[in-house]
Amino acid sequence: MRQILGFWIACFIAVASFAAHAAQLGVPHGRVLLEVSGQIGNTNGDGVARFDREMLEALDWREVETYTSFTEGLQRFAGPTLASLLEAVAADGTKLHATAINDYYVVIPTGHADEHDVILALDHDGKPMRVRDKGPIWVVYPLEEAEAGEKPFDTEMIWQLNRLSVR
Amino acid sequence: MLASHRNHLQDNEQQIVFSISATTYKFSELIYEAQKLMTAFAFHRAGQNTREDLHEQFDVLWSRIGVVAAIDFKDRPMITKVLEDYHEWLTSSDAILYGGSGPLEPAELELLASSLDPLVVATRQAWMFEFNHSRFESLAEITRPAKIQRQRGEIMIAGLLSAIVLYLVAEVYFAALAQRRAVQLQEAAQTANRAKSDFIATVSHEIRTPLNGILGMASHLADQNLSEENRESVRIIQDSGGLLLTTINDVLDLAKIEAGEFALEFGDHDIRAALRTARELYLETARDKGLELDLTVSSSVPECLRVDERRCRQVIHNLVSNAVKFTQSGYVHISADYKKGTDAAHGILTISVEDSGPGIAKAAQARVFEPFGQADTGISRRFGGSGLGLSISRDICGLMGGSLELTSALGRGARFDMILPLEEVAQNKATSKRAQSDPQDATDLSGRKVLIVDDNRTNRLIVKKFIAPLGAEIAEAESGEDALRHLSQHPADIVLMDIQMPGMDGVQTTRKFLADRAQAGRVAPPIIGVTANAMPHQIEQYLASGMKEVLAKPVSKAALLRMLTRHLSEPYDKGGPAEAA
Repeated sequence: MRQILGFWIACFIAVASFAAHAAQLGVPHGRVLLEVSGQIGNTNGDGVARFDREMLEALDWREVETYTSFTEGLQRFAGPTLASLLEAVAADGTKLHATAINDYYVVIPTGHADEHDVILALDHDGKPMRVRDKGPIWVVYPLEEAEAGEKPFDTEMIWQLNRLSVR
Repeated sequence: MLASHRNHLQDNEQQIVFSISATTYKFSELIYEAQKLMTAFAFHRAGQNTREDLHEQFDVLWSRIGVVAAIDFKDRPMITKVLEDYHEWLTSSDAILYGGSGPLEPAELELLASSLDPLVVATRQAWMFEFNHSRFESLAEITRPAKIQRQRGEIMIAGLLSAIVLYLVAEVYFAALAQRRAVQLQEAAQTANRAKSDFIATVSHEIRTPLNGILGMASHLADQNLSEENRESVRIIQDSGGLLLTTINDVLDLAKIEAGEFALEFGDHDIRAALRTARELYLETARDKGLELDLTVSSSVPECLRVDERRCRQVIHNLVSNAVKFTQSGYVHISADYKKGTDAAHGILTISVEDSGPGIAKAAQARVFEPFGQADTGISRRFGGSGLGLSISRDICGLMGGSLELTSALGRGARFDMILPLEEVAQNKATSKRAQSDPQDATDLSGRKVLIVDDNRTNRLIVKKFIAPLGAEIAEAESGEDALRHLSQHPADIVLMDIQMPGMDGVQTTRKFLADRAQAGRVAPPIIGVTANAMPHQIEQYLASGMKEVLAKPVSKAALLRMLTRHLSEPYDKGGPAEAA
């Protein structure tokens, strides 16, 4: 009896959360920091999903302490996980074309989001990153100091990110 | 390790090429972004972009300067100079670009563009000069990442090596430290255990003393002519007191086991008699419940075994009483079997108690052997009992070198097997229990002088009531000093000595009395310690002071009379010469 009830509760939660996700993608009110396009299920206009800071803050926001080969010493970054962003837009693809403000772009496998706990960092040492400081978004792979020295993801760690395309 | 690491890097020329390419890329990006900003200024002048668009491009350029500035340009003055100029320009331009809102003034745009243009040219020239005039290796040197990586790699390996050394040193140090701490903890635990044993001994004394009064008086009352109703009341007092005594004895046993003071007393006994007694003891209860209680002793069980009979009986009683208590209908079978070992004298005795009771679930089977553990918590409410019996029983079997095993399943009854390695002894050595039992009717103490020394009036009264009917002449002393005074003036055949008394205690009194008698060359009557302090180390201490025997309170009538019979069977020579001390 309890199990059956549990099953229905689980079903309800699943349906409710799916509905919530579908309806969750609001409209940006502030400056758009990131535009997601390509194979996505949730959009908020013109087949793309646009995010302002407030919308990004509503995702799975994390604070990480990590090392990068571009910086000296321990760094503190904060921002939503890439996984939560992909979930929010209902991404359906294996690759991400990540493009920076100056049109520089890299390809990131979508699998990295979960495998490496990738963060879309908006804050560095507690402050929002300006464009001159590699903002508005820096794709960060949390690493140990020794790992960072090996530069395993320096290519993927694109900064000044403002566009993602799911392929 | 360091050498191979270095070789790895030196061989990797690709990495050097990559580094130079990366530096070239950084310069080209810087020049590219600067040109883009120049273009953006032109668009802005034409009204084709906003101030915010300029902000963004300006910031992108700023970040590219940051990337180039992160390269180590020691001894390359042209590049250093360009970067310094850029920083100056960025700072002053920042004030103009972010200093207002809306489109920029044409004059502001002119100032920004005309100051940026020479910087772009200077950057290009500086990099071309370095690229054309430096040797390949030296170019590679300025590529920070390779250099940093080598340093990092070496630092890492050196760090690892020192970490290993540090780890080994720490390991040895902490192992020694842990050892020392373990010894300290062990000592602390021993002290704590001693304190606990002392505490339990004290508490058990405090309970046994009043219980002595309750049981003694109840026992005396039961011998009187009572109405049926009063007889029933006395029986309940005796039963309840008996249960309380059993529980205290259990707790004391457990304390003894835990303190390592649980001593076994092996003697030659007929275990079959003990089994028969156990069955007889519970037969009435079993009949009342409609249970079948039978005993099967295999003919292989020897008549006489070397065993601690008292402890063995304790386990058998515990098993049988549990079985009878928990079984609501059906049977309780007691059986015994003996298997000879490789040498003829040694074998294994198995005593099994099997019942058709509720059984014990697999999960609860280990728990029933834990102190205070019962298969289900409702049991203690329904059936009573301390829950110590099985724990003690298993410990006793373990101390005898055997084991107590449980086979059961829920709803299928339970079987306890008490398995003991025991030595068979020649038949004639067996002490017949019957010979020493029930001395009370046969004992005649007329004319015997007994001195009871106890500060507690009730205790004196009980002993008096037990032995007065047998004709003994009883004298009382309520302290050690009082006893010595009495003994100096009056003869006594035996002295029953309490231990804990205000002033001189029983041990001091005994020592003083025996010393005085020895000095005077006179024989002393036997002194029997009567005490609630029944821990083995305490009893040892009493015997060392010269007491002949120690009786534990509460004193049972049978034990008291047995003891008196033993010591008074030969007439005590009051005036004779001293025996060998």
